[in-house]
Amino acid sequence: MIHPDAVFEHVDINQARRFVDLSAIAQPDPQVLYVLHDKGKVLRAWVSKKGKTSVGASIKPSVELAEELRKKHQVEEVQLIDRGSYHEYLKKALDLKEAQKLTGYEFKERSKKLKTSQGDGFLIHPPRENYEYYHYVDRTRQFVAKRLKPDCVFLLGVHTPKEWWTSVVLVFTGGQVTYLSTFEYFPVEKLAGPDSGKTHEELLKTAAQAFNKPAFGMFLPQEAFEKFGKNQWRGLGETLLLHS
Amino acid sequence: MTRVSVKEKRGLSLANGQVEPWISGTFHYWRSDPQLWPDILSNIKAMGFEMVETYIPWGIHEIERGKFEFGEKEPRKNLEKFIQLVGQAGLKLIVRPGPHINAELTYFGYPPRIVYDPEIVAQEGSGAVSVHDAAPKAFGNLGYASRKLYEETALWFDALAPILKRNLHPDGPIVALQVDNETGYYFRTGAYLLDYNPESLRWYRTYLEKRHGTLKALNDCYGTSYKSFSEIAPPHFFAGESLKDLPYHLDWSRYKEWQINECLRIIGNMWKERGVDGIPFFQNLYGPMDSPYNTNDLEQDAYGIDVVGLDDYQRKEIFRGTSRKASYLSGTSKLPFIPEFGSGCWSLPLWENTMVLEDQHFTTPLLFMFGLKAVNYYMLVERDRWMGSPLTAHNKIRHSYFDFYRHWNSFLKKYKFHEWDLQSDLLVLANYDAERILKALKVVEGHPIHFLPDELGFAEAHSFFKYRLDEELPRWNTNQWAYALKNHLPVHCSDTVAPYEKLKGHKAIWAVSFEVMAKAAQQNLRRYAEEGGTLFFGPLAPSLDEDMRPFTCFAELENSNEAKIGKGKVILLPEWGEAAVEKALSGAGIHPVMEGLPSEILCTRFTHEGKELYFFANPGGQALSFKPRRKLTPLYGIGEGKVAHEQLNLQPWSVTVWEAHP
Repeated sequence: MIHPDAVFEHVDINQARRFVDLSAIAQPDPQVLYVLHDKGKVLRAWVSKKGKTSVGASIKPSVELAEELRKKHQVEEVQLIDRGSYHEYLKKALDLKEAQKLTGYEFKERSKKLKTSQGDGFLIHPPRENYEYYHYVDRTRQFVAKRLKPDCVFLLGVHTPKEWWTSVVLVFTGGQVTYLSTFEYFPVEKLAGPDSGKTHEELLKTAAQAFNKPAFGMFLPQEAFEKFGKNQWRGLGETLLLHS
Repeated sequence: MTRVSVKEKRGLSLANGQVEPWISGTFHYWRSDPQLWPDILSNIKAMGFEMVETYIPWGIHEIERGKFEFGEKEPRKNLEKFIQLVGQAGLKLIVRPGPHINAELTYFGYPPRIVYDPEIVAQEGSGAVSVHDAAPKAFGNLGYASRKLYEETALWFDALAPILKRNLHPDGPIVALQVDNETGYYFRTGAYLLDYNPESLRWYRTYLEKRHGTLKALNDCYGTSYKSFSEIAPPHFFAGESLKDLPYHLDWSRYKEWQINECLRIIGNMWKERGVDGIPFFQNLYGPMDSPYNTNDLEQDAYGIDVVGLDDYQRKEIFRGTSRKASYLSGTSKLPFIPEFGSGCWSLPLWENTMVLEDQHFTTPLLFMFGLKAVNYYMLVERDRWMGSPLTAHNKIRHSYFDFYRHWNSFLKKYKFHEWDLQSDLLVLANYDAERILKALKVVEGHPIHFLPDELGFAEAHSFFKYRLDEELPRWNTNQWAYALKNHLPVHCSDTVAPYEKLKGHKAIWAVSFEVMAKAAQQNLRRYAEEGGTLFFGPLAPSLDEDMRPFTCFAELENSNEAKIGKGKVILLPEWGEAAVEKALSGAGIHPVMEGLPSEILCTRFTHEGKELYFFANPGGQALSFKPRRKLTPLYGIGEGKVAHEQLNLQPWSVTVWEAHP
């Protein structure tokens, strides 16, 4: 989704860090039982944040067993990993020709799809949407496809009554992000009154003129944004979207 | 011809004999409008910097294979013009021409044709091609043993060398060169991740031959019956049953350490062959202090690397790790140096430890407090994919950042801080052998595309040691450093690879030790004790060499926890206990740098020509007060110039510097 030559500039590091901190809170970070085995012979079992555990000397991996272990060990997720199958997964996922052909985000999505379709050898139960920091690729892509236009500017402004808590300016060209900044991009005088509807409309107008594209904007108070974050972004896509 | 050399623990010694402290910051010329270059350099100078640093990106200057653009058409690529402007601004220049640079560029600075070439790309232990799963574009991680990589790199160096050569100090401003960048398997530090490319396996067998000399010696060591070196296949995970299986696995880790060093030696020689020589060559390891990074080894003359530094990008809350890193550099490197210390952070992808100004305020003086002598701030000028620097890409000043650097640099200059010596009576040694074993005992490696907790991978089957290293080694390391900090000990750190020259002169050495310790390390430590030092081990005295053969230089400890050795002594601390540690250290003459300080405060002491400086740091969110037992004048961080009142108040997350009255 981000063009390889996308420009990142005028980024306010304090606002970026708030985004990082919120994203960290928003990570699924489930309690996971990992069972590493070699064709059924258990090498080690480990529960995240708790430590070593036992699942017996051998297992016959299946979704049913994973569900049974999930309940027994009171975890949210179970990964039954046959070492050979895990290596096979890596071989399939790390394909240099695909890397060259796809964007980095498409490549990540491809790896994720492969990860959750390896049968009983490399079994993650139940599959989750996100396996690494900050990449809710599918959902983000859907949001962009359904709510924005392939060529547009999108502003996200999160505010307190006094300041912009975090913000993003994204310029889309042909459906890909080609420019990214925070509201530092705008002249200071345009940023006064962060909780004012007038300011929001003015910012949209300015962005539309500056980039010569239609501008969309989502402006919301910090508490509301944090709530979405802590709830793994559910509902954020339904927030009122302003249009220039 | 020596143009510039490293003055140990001080800085760079220039052609006129002057020693210049190495305090520099990064500006990427090709990422800013060339018309702004003079003003940007002028602002860098105004912050108190005397040196500027830049990468020189192969992938930006190459327009097609073997053809390069240095400003003939695009002014932003006019490297020589930039170099001249640096000189005209009265600045010195540090260059980092790769071939690998990262620089937050999409292909880490390589031309795309290189990173998608299957002949050059590394192979993982799983059998997978090694792809760097990056956004916005994934690409291949390169193999350091690839002959083609060096052949292609030669084209780049051939084009670049004449420009660098004619601008070396004193003819031009270039005073140092970094060989490659963060050479270390592209952050894949697990023993069994990289590199299994056929060319790497040829290097592996060459290394085995070099290490063991003969096939018989190798077979004796492994308990095998190989008929030729070419038969030997590398391990892909730990598959041992007994102690005798370890040397085979450990040799793979050793090979990987050597591979990094060898790669750097080759690249360094490529520059020398092209006449770029006579200035210090340095390398930045990306942070970790254990295998496959071997700082002590890499600084040996054999590899042509004068200074090895460690990069650092951390929030203030990680101060224990940051202080430990600076302390490790202090005890290990000729010039304790952080070649990349975060001045701002990359914006793609966002990083969990993104540093903001308040981190900078705390961690910058903290590094110097623990013995750092040289630093390069990365970056002083923002640009694409970088935020939080004192100057924007458009040369707008971010005043709070700008003022911080000006203030801190002014302190360093005013007091000639590079001439002061950290009081370090105690040398704490990490156990490099144990760290290497721990990494070799992995039955599976996690991967950037599928995270696995480190602990999942540790083999169950290493009951051949008294303690589980994955549990006891981190516990002892953590306890040891936390103890040194809270007791304000005059300390710095290194590891057991340290040569004897780095051991001597300390009142005491404290090495975390288990059964295994290399023969050379044991012999060095024995010599240190014999010549009058006090040596501490714990929890076990070494009883095996690096190839798991029974070997000890400390047989005296078999029947007693304390023994005289020559003019010195050795003490075993079998259990972790603060009272026992305190008694033992005190007996060796190791006392706090200042008595009576609250344990929350960090304190170190420096001396120079009979004068004393104290650093006090408050590493927490609550203000702290105490009454120092010395009369102190503040120099930095708190009402400079006024004589201290009896009660000192340290603001949250602050570092202050004081001069003691005689």
